[in-house]
Amino acid sequence: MSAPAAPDLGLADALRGAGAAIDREAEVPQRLIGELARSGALGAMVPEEYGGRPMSFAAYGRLCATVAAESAALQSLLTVHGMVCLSIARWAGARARAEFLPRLATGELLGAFALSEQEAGSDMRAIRTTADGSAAGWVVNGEKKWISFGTVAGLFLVFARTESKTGSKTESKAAGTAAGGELALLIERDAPGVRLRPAPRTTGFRGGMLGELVLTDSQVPPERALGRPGTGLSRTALGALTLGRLCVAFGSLGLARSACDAALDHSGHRRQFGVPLRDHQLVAGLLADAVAATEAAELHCERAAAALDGDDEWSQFHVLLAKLTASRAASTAAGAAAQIHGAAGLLEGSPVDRYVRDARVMEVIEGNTQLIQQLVSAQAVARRRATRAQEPCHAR
Amino acid sequence: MTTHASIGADHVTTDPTDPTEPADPADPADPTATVDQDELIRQETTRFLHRYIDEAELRSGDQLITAGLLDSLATVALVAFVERRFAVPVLDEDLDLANFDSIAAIVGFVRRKQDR
Repeated sequence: MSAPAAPDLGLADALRGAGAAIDREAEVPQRLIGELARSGALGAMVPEEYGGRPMSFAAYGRLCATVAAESAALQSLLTVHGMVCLSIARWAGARARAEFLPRLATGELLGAFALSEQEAGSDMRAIRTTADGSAAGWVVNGEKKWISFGTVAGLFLVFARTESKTGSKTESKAAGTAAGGELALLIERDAPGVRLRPAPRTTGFRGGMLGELVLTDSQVPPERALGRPGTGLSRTALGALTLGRLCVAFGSLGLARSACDAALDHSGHRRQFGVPLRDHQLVAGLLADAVAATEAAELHCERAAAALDGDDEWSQFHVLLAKLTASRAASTAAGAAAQIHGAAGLLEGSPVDRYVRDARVMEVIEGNTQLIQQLVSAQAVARRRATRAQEPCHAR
Repeated sequence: MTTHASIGADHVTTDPTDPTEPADPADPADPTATVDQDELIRQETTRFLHRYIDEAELRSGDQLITAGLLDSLATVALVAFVERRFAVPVLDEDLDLANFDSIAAIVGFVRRKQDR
């Protein structure tokens, strides 16, 4: 399917055929990460003054779609690395920015996002990792799970709950308080008290190189905290997740396009009952629904990116809507492609088998579909109330 | 130049041609110039909060955040509203319940920022 042009970073040759190999080997080859770095893609969320090659949100989104069309797992590297770069550029102090951003921009250092825990998935306020303040900085203890590219990342953006001096956990407060609350911290892979282990293998995003982070009395200097206690979740995590959701939306769009292409091609080649599959009306229905969902997703993605680039007041609403519609479009298109391929779509390692498994992940990461629905609904109510407040009284 | 400022902007630039920009209270042509500034901020903030909180449920002394009337996204939207509407930058050190947990606190915060 045709699409708005993504920035040409010369990645076409490197990406061609990479999806199947990444899925089969359950890892992204270092050579391919090097190609991404060389292209400037890893510096897209880093300001120029730190060696980055900043892109608009629209350009970055289209790049994510292009990469995910080949490999959704590889695209998730752009998601998490971009989230870490953006967070440091926006909320870290000058010293941490100068220390990390140049190396993140070149890909010498890969960033990973460490928020989820065993008991804290959608409910991010349930995190139990603690950061205890001391004169030398913070002492962090806890375990983080489901960290994309955690096995190869060199720098982790970790979210922890600060403790009072008596050791009791501070109440979480949405806007944050000076006294305590959640805090975002930068922790290097080789810092004392840091242990990494590979996560159990997942069915989708097999090349996502998931890791788990175990922090035991890990000492973090004060300048590696982003913002103040209390700003960790409401400002840093939500800000990073906004970019993450945009990337997942565009990634879903890329996956959906590939699934549509596979469905359309196969339905033309494969003949049953003397005619191509696409001439059967029920198959045409599958094709039409897949294409309609994918085209709608593209509009939502482009609208969301334009809202972020234009600093639109309702950009959160549009990003959430894009994530919701695009991840569902990926499921619809992948499901249609698999159904149209019949038994061939059940072959392990076939492209459509991979699309189905990866599409499921898109409806889970960066907020599952049901959570996103709840947020979209709340934003839609707020938007309606804002509109109604501007209407003349007789129109209400 | 791309700055990615729309996510977590710490500083807000104002556009004097934008009708949604705050009125200049010193402008004699501005009809709001005669309105008490605290009351103006209170009214504007209350109108914004009605996006997220039913009118019948919102009272002037309510704790907005600690009582759970605003969720995280709404809180972020509130901070962005204060930055945009009243042209006051909200820095990390300003993100304190003492500044945002009630309408009165927001009025006080905006006035202190404007007076600097």
